[in-house]
Amino acid sequence: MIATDGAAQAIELADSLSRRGLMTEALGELDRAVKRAGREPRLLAYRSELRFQTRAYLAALRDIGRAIKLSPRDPSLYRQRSELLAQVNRGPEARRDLDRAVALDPSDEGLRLARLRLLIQGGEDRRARREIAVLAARGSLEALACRAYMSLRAGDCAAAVVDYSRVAAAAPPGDSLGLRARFYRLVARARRAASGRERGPRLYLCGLGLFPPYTPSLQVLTALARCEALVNNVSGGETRELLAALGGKVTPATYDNQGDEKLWTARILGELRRGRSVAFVTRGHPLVFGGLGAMLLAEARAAAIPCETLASLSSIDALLASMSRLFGLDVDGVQAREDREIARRPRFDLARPQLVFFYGALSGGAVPRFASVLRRAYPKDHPCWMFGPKYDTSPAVFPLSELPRRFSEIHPSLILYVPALR
Amino acid sequence: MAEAPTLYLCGLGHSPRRTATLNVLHALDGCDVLLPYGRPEVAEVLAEFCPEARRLPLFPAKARAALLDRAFRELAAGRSVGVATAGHPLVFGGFSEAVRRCAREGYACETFGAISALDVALARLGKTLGIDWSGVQAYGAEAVPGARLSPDQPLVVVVPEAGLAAPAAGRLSRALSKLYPPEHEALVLSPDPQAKPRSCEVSRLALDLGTLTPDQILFVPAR
Repeated sequence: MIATDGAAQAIELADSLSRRGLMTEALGELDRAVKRAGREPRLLAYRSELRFQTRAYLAALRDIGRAIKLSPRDPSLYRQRSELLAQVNRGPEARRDLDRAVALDPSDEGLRLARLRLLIQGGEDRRARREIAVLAARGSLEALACRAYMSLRAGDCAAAVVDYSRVAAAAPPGDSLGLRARFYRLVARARRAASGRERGPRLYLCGLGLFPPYTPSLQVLTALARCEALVNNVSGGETRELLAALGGKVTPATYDNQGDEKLWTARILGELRRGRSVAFVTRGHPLVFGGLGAMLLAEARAAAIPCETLASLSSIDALLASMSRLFGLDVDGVQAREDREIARRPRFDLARPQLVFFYGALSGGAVPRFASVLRRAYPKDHPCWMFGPKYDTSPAVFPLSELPRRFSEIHPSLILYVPALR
Repeated sequence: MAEAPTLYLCGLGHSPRRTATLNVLHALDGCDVLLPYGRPEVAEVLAEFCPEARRLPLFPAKARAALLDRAFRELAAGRSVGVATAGHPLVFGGFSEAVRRCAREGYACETFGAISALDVALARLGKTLGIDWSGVQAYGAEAVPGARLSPDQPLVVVVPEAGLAAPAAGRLSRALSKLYPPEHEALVLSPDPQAKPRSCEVSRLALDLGTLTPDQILFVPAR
């Protein structure tokens, strides 16, 4: 599918705008271009992509549907629509689109692999195995990785380890498929320790660590593999894929609104009362600033349901490790306190780092009190590092004296690191 | 591994069989040579999860210098090296010399977070930081005597990999006795989630401290 010059220019401009986060402007540019040259499948396909990014799902599907009508023999359009449909949990339609795409270009391995992944997600194991046989005969390592994943999901960890090892050995160094194969080989090895499903009501609070899905602990993986139901509070396809590999029934739990915590607590307790073992899956450590974790624990205890919290990688761990590495110094002690606690009881061990968290969010007169406590304890130009809300990006670094000016930007997902005085 | 020789300082967390995380094992699995340090459990986890990598025999807890010498010989030979410890090599681990030496000798050095005694204590006690506790302090046992602790905050004491020798145990006991009333109750947490914490009055801790193992945690609630 080749776009006309005018369409290509509009796409280029919209692309540059969207990369700068100017989505409204990018979509406006595409709207004008579509009005000028309405029967242009490339334009419609690109607008569909951007509309999807802005969560205008129906409009995105409408656009890609119009593009397909205009260019019905273009397999890439069916593939694009299948991706959109899969994202909105319309798996069977997504698979039908990929069937059409593969029929149009059976030699395209990328299309076949995309379909294979959907077949696996949809639990169509027999069709998936047939497709794997076709692709593996062509030497596809991806297909081998898919077979390993299916073995893992079915609990055949030994077969999964063998296939993942073959992929890891054959993939070029640093290749993402090889890295993924080594990651899932570890999952398969960890899953071996979980013998069968746990029957009877039992609640596990499981954190996947600060960087899900890459940071679960061995005991969390074992617990997840043993539970009958997994209630997943972590977004992202990779996490869903990991949880699905562990074989239990996965229910997504999103909570953005006030009251949602109570709703999910009630639902999870309902599962437990039906006699099932349930894992509540969350990011980080379930009991480090974890409102729902604390609520679940309290309710389960009150209902005399056995429960276990599994220690997980928290923001504090990641932060201390990275700062020790930065300074080349050992940590032999740390104090971690809420801002209001510091304002209330200013006792510092200045020879060790301080972590300040803002879970309680100071207000009113407590703000200047907190700032003046720190000002009195440390020199004016003492540096500090503000981490979060994403802990895989660089922290903001500034002198402690600047903290009061930044108070309006502070929210509960941030942690302030104040290094030791040396 | 094709990349420039890199030293990976990897912590398997407070009790490696339970707390090793996948990203850390993944990094170790990609190294040319692995150097386990401290508890036998560390070497066992590496053998089980990274059998493809070349592993040297376990370096005992007092052989840190020997381990680092070996690590830098391997780096000089162009190999990527994974040092694996329980806990974290830089957080209560005493491996910071490795970071400084990497900087001096021009090697890359990577580390990752590890599940700490603090995480385990929260999980075992069922307490939520930010809700039940407005703060917490975690100290290595040998750092407690010289530290300006806040007795109104819960205290997690981390036992060194080599255990606590009698003089260090005595210093720790005296430091705690100054901060807390004699009848104040401390808890010894074992890594087994099913085991009940053992309680002990601060005034009687001296007897207990010398027997603590690195996979146990001394927890002192706020005054």
